[in-house]
Amino acid sequence: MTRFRCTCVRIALVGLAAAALVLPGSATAHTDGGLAGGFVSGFTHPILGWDHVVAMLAVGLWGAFLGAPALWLLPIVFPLVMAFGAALGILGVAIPAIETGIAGSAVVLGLLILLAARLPLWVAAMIVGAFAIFHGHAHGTELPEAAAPLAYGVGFVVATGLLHLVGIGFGLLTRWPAGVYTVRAGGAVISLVGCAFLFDVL
Amino acid sequence: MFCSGRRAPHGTSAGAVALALALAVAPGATQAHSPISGADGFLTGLLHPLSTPDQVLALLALGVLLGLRFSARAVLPWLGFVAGVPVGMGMGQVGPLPPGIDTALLLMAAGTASLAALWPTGTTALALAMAGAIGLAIGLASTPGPGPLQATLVMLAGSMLGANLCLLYATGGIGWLRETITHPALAIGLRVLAAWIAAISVLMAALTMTGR
Repeated sequence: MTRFRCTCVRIALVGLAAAALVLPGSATAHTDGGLAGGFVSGFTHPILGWDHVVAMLAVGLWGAFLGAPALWLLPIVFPLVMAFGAALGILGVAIPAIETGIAGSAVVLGLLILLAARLPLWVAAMIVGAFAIFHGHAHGTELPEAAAPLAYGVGFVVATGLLHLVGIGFGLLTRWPAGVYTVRAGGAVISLVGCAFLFDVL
Repeated sequence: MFCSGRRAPHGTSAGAVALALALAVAPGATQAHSPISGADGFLTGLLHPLSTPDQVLALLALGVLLGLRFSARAVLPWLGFVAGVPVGMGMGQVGPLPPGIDTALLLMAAGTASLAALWPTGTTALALAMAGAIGLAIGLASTPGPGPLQATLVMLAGSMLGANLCLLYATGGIGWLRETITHPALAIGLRVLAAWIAAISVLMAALTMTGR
């Protein structure tokens, strides 16, 4: 009974953290003053766009679904490749169909979760890495001029990591049979949100 | 009345505590500036590795890599760093400072942190090469402006010690954590941290290259 209660409390905390992270109403966008402003600007950048949020949640969720070592390897690969994409965006290197790639990432990752696809680790890393380029490029292109670079980078990367963590937290529900269905339903929702962005419904 | 005659825990008497407090707050014993000639330059050099984000990120990245290889497999790369710093300092003294040294340091930080994130048990030769290159670049970046030879040497000695102390604390701290906490989640957390350092370094390198 106590163990069950602890589990419920953990799930509630993860849910609360997820809600706090993805609620855009309380965030102040692009306050570019000094270190704090740079951090806030970088931190809010990934969590202000729902297309980014659902894709990054999906990375953590799929990682948790696949289990170790994908559980932690995917959230390592994503920020590394995303930063490379952001660097391309900052340097002005054009990549076609960025918005399609971002929306497509939510569609594909959501479907993979819905179908409970257990792909080999290197294939999963390649898929996540390919989509990370699009997300990073979008962030790099939209980087505010006045942001303090170090603080912006720290905020940007930490927010991305926390979104993955929320996804992993939700994905840990797969330890229970009912949780597997819940997570797969979550994948369906992510995929639908991706479709809505893909066809400009949202 | 106030002294019960019982000793405080661990044998520390109230009198000793009072004496220590009195010594700590006694203003007469403090001197704001060291009378030792050249100490200011040494201190400036000592803090120099912490003065720019590129050096801090490079030292952190190397610290995580060596900390994940702690302790036996960290010694040789460490020696590479120790050798690289004076070589870089020497190169900085005899020739002009190469342009883009800050960007190069950030890219080295990104490479080293990526190695720590994706392949921490990688070959010692690779870790040695990374450590040597970072040491060389930090040595180059520590080159002071023109001045008297003695002042320059004192400042460079401070920078050499500062860079090694930073790496020592980063590597030793992570190594101590890994020996204290044996849960596998710690190693995973450190690899995630390394990935974050790499990502921040790549972002900063791109921003530096565009002059932002």
